Amino acid sequence: MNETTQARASHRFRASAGRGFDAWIDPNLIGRWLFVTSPAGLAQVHVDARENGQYILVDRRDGKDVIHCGAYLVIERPRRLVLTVFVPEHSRFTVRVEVTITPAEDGCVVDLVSEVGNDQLELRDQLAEGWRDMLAHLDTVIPAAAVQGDPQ
Amino acid sequence: MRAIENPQLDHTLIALADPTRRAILRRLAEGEARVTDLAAPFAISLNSVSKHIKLLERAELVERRREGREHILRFRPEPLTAAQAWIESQQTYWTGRLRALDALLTAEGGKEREDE
Repeated sequence: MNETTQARASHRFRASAGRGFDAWIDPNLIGRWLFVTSPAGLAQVHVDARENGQYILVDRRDGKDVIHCGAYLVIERPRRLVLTVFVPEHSRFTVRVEVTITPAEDGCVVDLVSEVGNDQLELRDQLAEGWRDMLAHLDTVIPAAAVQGDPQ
Repeated sequence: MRAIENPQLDHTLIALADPTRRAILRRLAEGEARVTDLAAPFAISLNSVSKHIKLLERAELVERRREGREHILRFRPEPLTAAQAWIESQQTYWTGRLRALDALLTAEGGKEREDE
C-alpha cells in the first residue's frame, strides 16, 4: 500500500546534475520556478540552504500571499536532496519531498518522490507550533527588501 | 501546491502516512478482524494499536461494530478514492514544476557553471 501514498515525477534535463541540484537551493533560481504561479516569480524568497536549514517562499496569487515553508533535511550535492513542504493555507500536514539527480549522457535525470510524512502524528502539534512562531516573526526573519516585494 | 479544503482528506492522508496503519489496513482488506487479533502481529502495545485504529476510524477507513464483548473491525476503501486523486494531483503538479525548471535551465544554459 506504500506505493499508493507516494506521488512520483521524473524529468530528463539537458543541464548538468549540479545545475539541476542548485535549482533547489539557489534563491535566484528557486524564485523563478518552485511553487511559482506568476510569470513575475515569487514575491519573497528566504532560503537557508543547509541541512536542517529552513526556507520560506511567498507566491502572490490574485493579490493574496500563499506561503510555502519547510526545511532541508538532506543536502548531498549534486545527487540527493530531501526537503519538507508545508503550505498552511492549503493543508494541515507536511509533505516530504525526496529529489534524486542522476547524471546522464547529455545532462541529468531528476526523480522526485512526494509523500505525507509518517511522523505526522507525533510531530504535527510541535510543527504547527513551530511554524506559527516562525510565521509570527516573518517580518524579522525576512530582510526588509524582500518584505517590500523584491525577489532575492 | 493544490489546495485541500476537505478535512476528511487530511485525516485519510495522515492515516495512510504511517506504516503500522497501512499494515492494519492490509490485514483488514483480507477480511474483518477482532481488535485483539489485529494487534497480535505487531510488536507494540495493544494501547498503541488502539491509537492507530482510532486514527483509521477518524479517517473512516475502518468501521467498528460490537458483538457482545468483542470489537470487530472492517475495512472501508471508499476514502482511498479521494486520497488517490490527491496523490495523482501531486504527480501532475510536480511533473509541471519539473517542466518549468527545464524551461528555466534551458534558458539559462549559457550561464551554466562548472560543477563536480
